[in-house]
Amino acid sequence: MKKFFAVALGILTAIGGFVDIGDLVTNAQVGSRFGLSLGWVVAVGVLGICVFAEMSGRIAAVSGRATFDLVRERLGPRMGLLNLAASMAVTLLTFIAEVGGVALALQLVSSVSEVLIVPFVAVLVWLVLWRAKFSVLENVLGLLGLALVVYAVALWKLAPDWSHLAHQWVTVQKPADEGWNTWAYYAVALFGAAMTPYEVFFFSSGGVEERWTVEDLSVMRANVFIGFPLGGLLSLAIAGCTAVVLGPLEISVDTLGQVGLPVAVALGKIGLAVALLGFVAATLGAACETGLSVGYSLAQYFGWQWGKYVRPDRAARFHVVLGLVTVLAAAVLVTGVDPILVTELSVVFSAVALPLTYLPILVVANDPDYLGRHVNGRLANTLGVVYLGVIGVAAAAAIPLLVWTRMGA
Amino acid sequence: MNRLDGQLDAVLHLMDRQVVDVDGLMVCKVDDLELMEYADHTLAVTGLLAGPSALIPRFGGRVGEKLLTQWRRLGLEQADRDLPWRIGVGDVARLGSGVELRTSVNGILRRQSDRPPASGARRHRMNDFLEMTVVDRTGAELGQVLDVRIRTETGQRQRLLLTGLVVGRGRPGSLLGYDRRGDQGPWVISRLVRRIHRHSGYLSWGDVTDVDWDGRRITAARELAPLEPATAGDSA
Repeated sequence: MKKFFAVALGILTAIGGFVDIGDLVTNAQVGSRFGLSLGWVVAVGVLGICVFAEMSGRIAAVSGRATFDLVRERLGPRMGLLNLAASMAVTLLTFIAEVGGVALALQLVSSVSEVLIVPFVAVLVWLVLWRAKFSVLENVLGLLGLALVVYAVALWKLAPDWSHLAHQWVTVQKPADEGWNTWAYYAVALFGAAMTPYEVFFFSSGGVEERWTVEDLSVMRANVFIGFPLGGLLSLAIAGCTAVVLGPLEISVDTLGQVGLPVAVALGKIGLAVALLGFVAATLGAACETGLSVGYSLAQYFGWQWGKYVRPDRAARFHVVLGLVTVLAAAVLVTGVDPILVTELSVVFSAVALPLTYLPILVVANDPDYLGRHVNGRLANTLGVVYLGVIGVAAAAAIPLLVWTRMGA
Repeated sequence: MNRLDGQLDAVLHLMDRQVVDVDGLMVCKVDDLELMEYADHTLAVTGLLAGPSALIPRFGGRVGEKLLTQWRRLGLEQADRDLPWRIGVGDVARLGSGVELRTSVNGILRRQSDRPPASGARRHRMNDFLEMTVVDRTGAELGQVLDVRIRTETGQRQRLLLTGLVVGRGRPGSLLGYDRRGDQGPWVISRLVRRIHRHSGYLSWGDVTDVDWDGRRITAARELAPLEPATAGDSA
């Protein structure tokens, strides 16, 4: 029974923790402009993150090594450092977007300018990173993030023409007023939002934090293969809601308020309140995860003690990094830069940075030196190689599309 | 599996690995290795080196040089600025996916000695040995040192004896390990990397006639043998 609860808790937090500011904004934007014609990208991205996370989680459980240990071991210190710089830049960008997302969500509640809220959010994030136990951080915020299920309820309440939505999805029915280049740009953005590199840094390092062993492999797989796809369904529900409510009105999503609008239309004040709770929990949870991921990556490259399973003074350098990145994020956000803009950039650059960490993980997942008999089977390798191709194409196309479409304008 | 029970490749299995103490607390990375050259022509790994003065030279090139100058400039008054931290090979209990030490993290790191070792031995760093040019007796180039095969001597826990060299053309991807074992998937990557490294081979240390440290040149008495994976210990 205890085991059942552990599995259920893991799955629930995986669902609640799946959606972050990138998923919220990108799915809402895509839904309002393209309907569900990009729905298959979410499916491809979710399966991709499952494949990636399962491999890195398995490596963490069997060998005790997290992502950036492997990056340095397999690419050497020189390439590893370049990789670290690029991955950290993208994760930092995501971190700034998440902290800004928390501030935007609180702005919707309080009507106080988000610039004034940012310092308080930064202090809160830092306190959580410093004081809160790892399990508390993961479970509480993950469970509260489940409030976003309100989007699924809202979509059902809106009673859309389901066959039309399904048709749009299956036949990739792009609206006639959008070009294929913007369609491709948003495909890459949506892919980057679903497969963000920090998710894997956090997932594998979290496995080491929680001291997974070979016995935990089945629980880990349940979390990944049940929790992530259900989280992906939440993403689709967000896109569906904006497609139904905002699409016909030709409203494009530029603020977090517009992301919440369909829920207000469908379910009124109560629904909006639940959605706002979900926004705060999802972005705060992701802010903690991205902040930790920056610290994890840096500490793993240089071999410093890291993790929340030791006292902060034992992992002093790790906690100094966490403090510094929080200050940096606050400093960037108080300039008044639009967090939604930062989010849009972060999901595209996520797609660019993905191959850097994906390739070393795929190689080590095949190395019996690390994994013994738990190396990739035929299915994992087929999917692994297919996704190596998909990730490569998305990474190569991301920046040209960004320039060509002027950020999807 | 304890790699120290059998053969291992220094770069593939030991360099850049995480060092943890007896309780699993993290100590450092294996930033470089101490390589001892003895009077009788044998070479052995005697210590793990860590810290910026071991890591920065490995970046190589102009950036590495600049960083090293900067690193020195930040502590001009320190006489031991260029000496990395050292952990003796004898302190390593087990080598798996990480390097597990016998003792606790407290006070484990000591500066590498700058006094010359006893009995005519010379102290080097693995990084200075890697990428040396390997030539045959006629002077024709065979490649460069990509990795170094080492093994524990029976009854001798303090050092890992060098038994051979992995020699290749210095193309990318050697650290992935596919050049040494063909059975590791995924098939596509394996085929690609093995194709890139098709010229790589193995040179037994007994076939090396001369090592010119200043000229960075190794002379071999024989052609390269086919490259086989390092055989792990029996207690696997």
